[in-house]
Amino acid sequence: MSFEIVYTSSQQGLHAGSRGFCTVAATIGIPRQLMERLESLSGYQHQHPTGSKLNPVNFCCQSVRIQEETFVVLSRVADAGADFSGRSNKIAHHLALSLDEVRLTNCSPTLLLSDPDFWFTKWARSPEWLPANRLPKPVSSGGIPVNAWKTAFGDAGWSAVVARSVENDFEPVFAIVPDGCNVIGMVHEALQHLSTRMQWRVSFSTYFTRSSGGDCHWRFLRDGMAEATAVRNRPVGIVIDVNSRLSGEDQKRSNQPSLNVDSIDESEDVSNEQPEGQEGFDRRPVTRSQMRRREAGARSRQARLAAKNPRERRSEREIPQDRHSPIPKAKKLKTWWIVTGLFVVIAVIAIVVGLIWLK
Amino acid sequence: MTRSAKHIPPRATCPHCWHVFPLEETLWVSSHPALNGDARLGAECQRRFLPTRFDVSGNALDSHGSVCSELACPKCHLVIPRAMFEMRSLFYSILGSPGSGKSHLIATTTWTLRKTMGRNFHLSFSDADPDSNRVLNQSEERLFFNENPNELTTLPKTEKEGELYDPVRFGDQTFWYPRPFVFSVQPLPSHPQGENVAEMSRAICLYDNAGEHFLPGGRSSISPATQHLTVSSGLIFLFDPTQHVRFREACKGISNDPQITTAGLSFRQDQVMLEAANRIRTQASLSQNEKYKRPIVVAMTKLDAWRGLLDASFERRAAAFGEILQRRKHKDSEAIETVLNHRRIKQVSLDLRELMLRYAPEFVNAAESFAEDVTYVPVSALGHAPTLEAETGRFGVRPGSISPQWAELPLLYLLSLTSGGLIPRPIERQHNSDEQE
Repeated sequence: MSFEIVYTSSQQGLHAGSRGFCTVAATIGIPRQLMERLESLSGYQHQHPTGSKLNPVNFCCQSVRIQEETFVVLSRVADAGADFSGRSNKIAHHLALSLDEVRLTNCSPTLLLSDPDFWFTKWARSPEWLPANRLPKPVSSGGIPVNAWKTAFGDAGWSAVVARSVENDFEPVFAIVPDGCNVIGMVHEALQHLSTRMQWRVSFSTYFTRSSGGDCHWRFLRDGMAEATAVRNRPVGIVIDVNSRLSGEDQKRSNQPSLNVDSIDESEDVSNEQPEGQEGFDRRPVTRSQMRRREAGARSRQARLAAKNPRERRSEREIPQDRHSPIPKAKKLKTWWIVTGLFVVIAVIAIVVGLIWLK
Repeated sequence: MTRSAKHIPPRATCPHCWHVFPLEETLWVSSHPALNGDARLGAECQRRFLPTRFDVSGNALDSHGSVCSELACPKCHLVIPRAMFEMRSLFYSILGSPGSGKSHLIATTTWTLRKTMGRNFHLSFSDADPDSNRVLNQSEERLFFNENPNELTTLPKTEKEGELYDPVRFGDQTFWYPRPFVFSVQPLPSHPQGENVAEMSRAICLYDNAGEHFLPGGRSSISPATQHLTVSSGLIFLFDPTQHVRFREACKGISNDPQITTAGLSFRQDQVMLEAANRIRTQASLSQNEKYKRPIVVAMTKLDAWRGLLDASFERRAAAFGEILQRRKHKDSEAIETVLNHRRIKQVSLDLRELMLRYAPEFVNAAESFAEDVTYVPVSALGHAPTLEAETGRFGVRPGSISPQWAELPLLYLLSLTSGGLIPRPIERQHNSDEQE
């Protein structure tokens, strides 16, 4: 069964006494823990003044685990103008699908996220309980433009680089994109390289900030925001940076062929497709990727060295959760004395019994 | 650790999860780029570890031999500013209903204290961790460093999740801990206690919660955002008269503030107080008959909007007790020290209590049935009414017109009561001989 919530700032929430940022609509029967978890995914950072159309929409797909059950959550979080108190507002609409429902879905999550009739963009009603099993209708594939990567980065082949990360044990992807580009289209293009089943295993966020509250494989960051700067300073995983893109002319000059989108899904290794001419461009993301591989090599060398030095290994070791609630030293000492004392007493008794028996 | 060992507290309190731990359990944050990924904080954070190797400066070395400098909590793994290990920590909670002006008051308070603590009290007041204080610094910049001082600006509404919170994973469960604003307050050489810097310095933690967290039913099992109430040395409760029906009614005709003239929002602020009291009682195991021993300052915000309710004799009565800051000779040395005029604050508090009893007796009852020491202080973080933008329907302020009134007083007053001499408390019998500023 699917569950949804709508979360925004309102004069009156769904629960008695709640107001301000609160849930204003939810599916009847939604578990409380799931509702709290979905509320925690509603963070939004305004990039522009509230009410501005330049504020990006965060389309997000991620899985959450509530007790024994896993849900795939589709979310739309966006600016919602000023609230009833004259301050900035946002609206977050989350749809949690059970794994059974996901299995029955035969389209990409981006097509569901693009249904304009399902996702709330404003809430000006009284709070209400929503009927169960309300689901978005997938828009036709033609409804999403397919040149998003080419428009933003000058080469549609980047979508394949992003998709390839899935094969590499879901290596995280950080794409730093300019304002106003069609990020949901970029995600859609990248997902097209994967089977429908794999598409639902990828988590993504089209406007990732520290506020977002999720943990996604594909994170699209806005150029100029603190998160983008942090990734540039300390790159992790695959970093695709708009500041490092090459224009079409630059590509011709560097003799770099454009990545062929259609051929990416074959068994060719993307890393091998990078031409030698690219090595001159230090800031290209694939170069970072190569650096990362070199780093992995260095890491394995370090690990071999560390194996010779167990002390060093110990310091890197994960600290167990119960490490800081050990039995106190005094108690340990006391236990030792009791055990030793008992042992001595038993030994004395055994000797005495032995002597008596011998007599 | 750079200070002499005897002044370092033996235990530290994490400002994120309030876990109290001995210093030897402190984790370090690895600095080598290859050591990415932490079990609690996710793949993009540096790994936390218990060190076994140190360099000659006492900094830990991670497993790749890189020198580390950041310290973390053994429970939540979030970074703790070093100041919290080297100085005694003081926690203060700021609470109030949504829209009562918490974010504006915190930004104005910290900005004012940065400017005046050195001049008035010979104390340095600075960020203990600029990254942790980033959101607050942005607010200060919008209000006090704005390049367009005549254009309307606004602080975003504080969220219940997002940038002011850090997610921490414990198994399958993710908890959201509030991000503290941490400041270090240290006596300057000219301070009467300037020789005892190590002993007198304090790390101050403030929290900017969303008002929704304090509403009845606003407690969340995955966001222990208001647990700091229990460890706080004092509370600042923001009472907003423009959100109180009877105050609003009384102010109509004497105030042009759009929060009063337009259909504003009203909250039962006594319920917020009772909810906070209930949480403190539960978490601190206080019985229902027991009173909260720590001070509560009720900051009556937006003074500019309701000043007309104070009669002419109010200022006169308050002024009879002298200036709010007074100077006197230190009892043990020739140094001149500045003290807060507690008698004047108490007189103002008595007058405001009378006003509250007239319009909001239910709140006085709620506050005083919970705590022993309640002080009422009028404050205005902006000094003027916000402007309502007709096009967008949002409130904005012009940075060039901001002139705070007593905004920093609630925190200064709590510091003078609880910081152990950083801001000296006046000696009542010496009041008449005090040298006025």
